[in-house]
Amino acid sequence: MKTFYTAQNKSGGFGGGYGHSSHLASTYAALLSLALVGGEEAYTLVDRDSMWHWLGRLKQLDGGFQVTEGGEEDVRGAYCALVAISLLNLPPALPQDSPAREAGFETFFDGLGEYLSRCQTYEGGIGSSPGNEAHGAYTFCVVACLCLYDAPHKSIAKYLDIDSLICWLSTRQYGPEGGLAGRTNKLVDGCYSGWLGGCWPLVQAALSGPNDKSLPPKTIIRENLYSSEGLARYILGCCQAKHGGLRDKPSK
Amino acid sequence: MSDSESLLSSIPPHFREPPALVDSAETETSRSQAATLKECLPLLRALADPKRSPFDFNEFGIPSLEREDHIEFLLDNLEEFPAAFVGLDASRPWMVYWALCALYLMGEDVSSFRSR
Repeated sequence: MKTFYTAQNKSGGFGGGYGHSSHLASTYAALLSLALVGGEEAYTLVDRDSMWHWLGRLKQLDGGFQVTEGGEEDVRGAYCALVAISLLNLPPALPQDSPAREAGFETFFDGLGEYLSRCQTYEGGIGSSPGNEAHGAYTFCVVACLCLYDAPHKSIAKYLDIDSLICWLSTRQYGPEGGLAGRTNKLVDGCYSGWLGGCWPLVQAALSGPNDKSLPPKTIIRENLYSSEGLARYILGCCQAKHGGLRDKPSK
Repeated sequence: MSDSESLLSSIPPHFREPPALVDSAETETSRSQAATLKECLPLLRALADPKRSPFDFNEFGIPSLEREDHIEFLLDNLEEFPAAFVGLDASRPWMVYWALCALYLMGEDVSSFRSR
């Protein structure tokens, strides 16, 4: 808590440390760290009011979010902003001083689904912003962001082409390595076990429909759509370093 | 069948043999892919390595998660860093989050870090 107390700015959000400007990536890491350690004192440390105003200033006219005031806009911003909004239960309405109100937006969610949709590429994966190459980590940001936006079977089905997404996700797993590669023609890398591996349960949830036993499921998925066995072989066999820690690949 | 080959039979061939079909075009991409395959293959087949103990693997020929080593590594990561790490200063929240999250996923109690 001492670490994050000094990283919070009066104007809202968390920076990398004392005196650093607020950034959505450090805000995301700070909020989740506080949630992990838990406790009343950790929760009251966060200034929700200034956070809400700060996020209002980051919301852009095309529906996305900047990662820091005056900085770049990409899907990391959108995902981290929605994590903050949902975890802190912030009001969905945009503050009156939010520049995005000029676009006719009234809530943080307005225009967001359409913005995320524009980031999906012809390959089926998703890039950092409209027009950029499909990439594992950005794909996770968008898929996870849509799951915070609405129930996965609604939001993912509405804003993404699920068939081409599944096709792209499937081709990210290589054999015999078993690991996942972040982009087409790249190499397996342990870190995508988290980013791309994390997409699968969300996509499978979108296909299965609501968790309501009285309704018939949309698609019955009896086993994972990727090889969890292959991924386990790669992580445990190739990524464990000698004295603890996980590596990207054996030589790194 | 040699001893090592019969050991390996618990691993499906597509997780221990090079791909059957390889594009004949050679590029920088294909060379890095081949190099990655070369460094992974012996580890994927480690079950047949006489220097490894059979107790290192489960019934599917997969090595165990070195939980104690990883926990120690993560706890080290939550300690103070020497001056050379100043370049990572802005990434402190990330380093804290990844370490806490991994400890939590391995079932460790992270509430002791509240006061830090």
